[in-house]
Amino acid sequence: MGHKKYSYQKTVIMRVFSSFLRKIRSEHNLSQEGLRALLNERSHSFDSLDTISISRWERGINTPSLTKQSEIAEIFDDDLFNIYSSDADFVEESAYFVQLSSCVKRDKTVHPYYKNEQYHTKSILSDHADFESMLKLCLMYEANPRLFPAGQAIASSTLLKPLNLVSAFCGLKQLVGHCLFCKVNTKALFEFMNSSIGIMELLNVMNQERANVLVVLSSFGVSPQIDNHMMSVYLNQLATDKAIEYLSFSTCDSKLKQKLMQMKIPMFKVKPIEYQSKIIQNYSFIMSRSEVMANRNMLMLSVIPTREIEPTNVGIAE
Amino acid sequence: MNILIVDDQQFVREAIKADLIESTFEHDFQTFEAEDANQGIEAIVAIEGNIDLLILDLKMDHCDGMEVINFLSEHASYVDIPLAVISSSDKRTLELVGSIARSLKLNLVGVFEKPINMDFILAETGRLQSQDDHKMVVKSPESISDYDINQLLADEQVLLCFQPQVDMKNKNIIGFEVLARMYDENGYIYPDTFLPLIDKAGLNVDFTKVIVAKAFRFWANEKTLASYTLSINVTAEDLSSDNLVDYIIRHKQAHADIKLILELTESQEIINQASALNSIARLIINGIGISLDDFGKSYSTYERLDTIPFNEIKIDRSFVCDIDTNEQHHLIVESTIALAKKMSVSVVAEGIETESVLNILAELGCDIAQGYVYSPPIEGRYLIAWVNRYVHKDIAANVH
Repeated sequence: MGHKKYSYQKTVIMRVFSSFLRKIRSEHNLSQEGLRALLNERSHSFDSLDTISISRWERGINTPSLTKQSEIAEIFDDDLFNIYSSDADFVEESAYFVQLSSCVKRDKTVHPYYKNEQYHTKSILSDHADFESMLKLCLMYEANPRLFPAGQAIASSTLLKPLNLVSAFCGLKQLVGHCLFCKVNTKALFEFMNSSIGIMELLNVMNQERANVLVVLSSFGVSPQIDNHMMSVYLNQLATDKAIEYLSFSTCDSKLKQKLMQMKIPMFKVKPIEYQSKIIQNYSFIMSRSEVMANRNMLMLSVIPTREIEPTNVGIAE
Repeated sequence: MNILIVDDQQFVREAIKADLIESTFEHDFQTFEAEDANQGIEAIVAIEGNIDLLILDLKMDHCDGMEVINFLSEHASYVDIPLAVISSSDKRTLELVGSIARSLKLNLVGVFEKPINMDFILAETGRLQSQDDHKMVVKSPESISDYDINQLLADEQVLLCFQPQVDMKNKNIIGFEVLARMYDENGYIYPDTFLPLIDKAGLNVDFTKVIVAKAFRFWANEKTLASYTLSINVTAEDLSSDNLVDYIIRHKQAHADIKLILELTESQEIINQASALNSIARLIINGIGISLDDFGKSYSTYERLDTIPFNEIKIDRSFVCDIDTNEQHHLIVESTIALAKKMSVSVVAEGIETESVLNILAELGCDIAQGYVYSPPIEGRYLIAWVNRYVHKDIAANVH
């Protein structure tokens, strides 16, 4: 697998989409001109589309951007996640990408105790005996004073029920990664981002309109692979839960912020928080489901059936 | 980003550099160092003032940072260099230096007590630049070369999003502002990235034409939207193109039922040029509404109000978003609304994210609300669904 080229991704994307296009055209009994006319009528993105382009897309000479692909898929009641996650080559390519790409430049440091051993992930529910200690470790890493301020006991587990905590372990009980996220309503989320409400009110989803945003509060892995793997956990959740319209991050972790910005995701706001006479920056991001799916890195992460990732020793010269 | 550090102590310079690498608020930067005022001045001259942040220690051996401050103020080409003064002096001295730098009209990021927090200084620098109108466009050269803007525009890789504007009294939808996104094979590209590129390539007029054409086609095809206003951003520079003004007027004439509003931004000088005034007059005569965008952000916006019969003013988001906690902003917004009332111009507040800000604006008598509290920008293909959901929820709310 070592000789695969990065550009191979594009070839796979081209092939997956060309077969999708041929499939829908035959299913709907459309000529290339018929498809052109339909797309042109349904969306302003296809104002200047001609049949030559469609023919090139189908022959895999060229392919439209994921943004356009997603519009075409939706016109035929499908979506990019569905199309790409059911293609074995694409999933394999994405799993390979997870292992290699760190997204963050300069992140070549070797972790003090993790040496690419086997690891496994575990979703920990709020009523689990280990939940509180795992959550505390995660909060310690995140160092976000807005998440359960010190002194405020992590009280009843019923209030914490909306929290999803996934941890990665290697060896016996060595924690090597985690992600913490929940599904809430955008209205509550913006109140939270502006510090009008606290974390407990944000988590009180009973008092909110239907949940439509997945907000990530912490996401981390000791190696690029685990870091990507943790990200794939909630991206996959978002992709499969169609009620979720937005993805958001609210974090004080500058590494995560940097990774998102390198994935070309615009920062929504940065708010300084004063905590124990130190200034801590709180970064917020928000993007729509279609923005997530049109982002190639995020699409690739979302299709990985998360339980099947095998850690490998790539990158280690032996 | 070029950063010049002027400090006599090597360990301070090293600590700052380490912080920069660690914090990576800005990941693409180059640092220059100087250990006293003279070296600092030499460095500024040597790199021809191409400095995005000057970190200046106040008290150094044999000299002080005031020499550099005075030097900057005496040279017009250097006054705009963002300046962060750092010092271990007491707070009052820091305040004094701060007010001197301000009175010398330097581009002061702030005065910071040691030990400093580099992330905070960088955040402040970013914030200052973004307030500074379109200057914030100082992006890393890397991201600029990433996109072939000519090709993207030629391929019309442009997507329209819409953000609702809601009547504050009866909560009815008034209309939508068009917000553009571009995209390539990796994902979306946002205005703060592509607008500078378009500007640099001289494609402003072509870009606005694409937006106008797409927005008109969209509005004309969707009967549900006919009753809502359609607001499109134009710059005053755009209006100096007769070709574009004709283009917009032709579209309006072809679709007289579409309630078009142009949201006008950009500098006072251009707006007052005869050609721009002439264009504005032609647009108004043709039934196109003119809204004064980013009100309060640039210099003498009041004067503009006097010359041009605007239909509406939009208060800039930077004032609106925190009026519940920022007394200063509250005052600015309050007086702007009062002024608009006296002039019988309607007021739109944008950047509303929370209920409490919304409530304050209602008390102040603001007419129209826009912001994430109602919805983030909505992609065109989901707009009708959003309108239907909003309208039904609203009816349901009134019944109960």
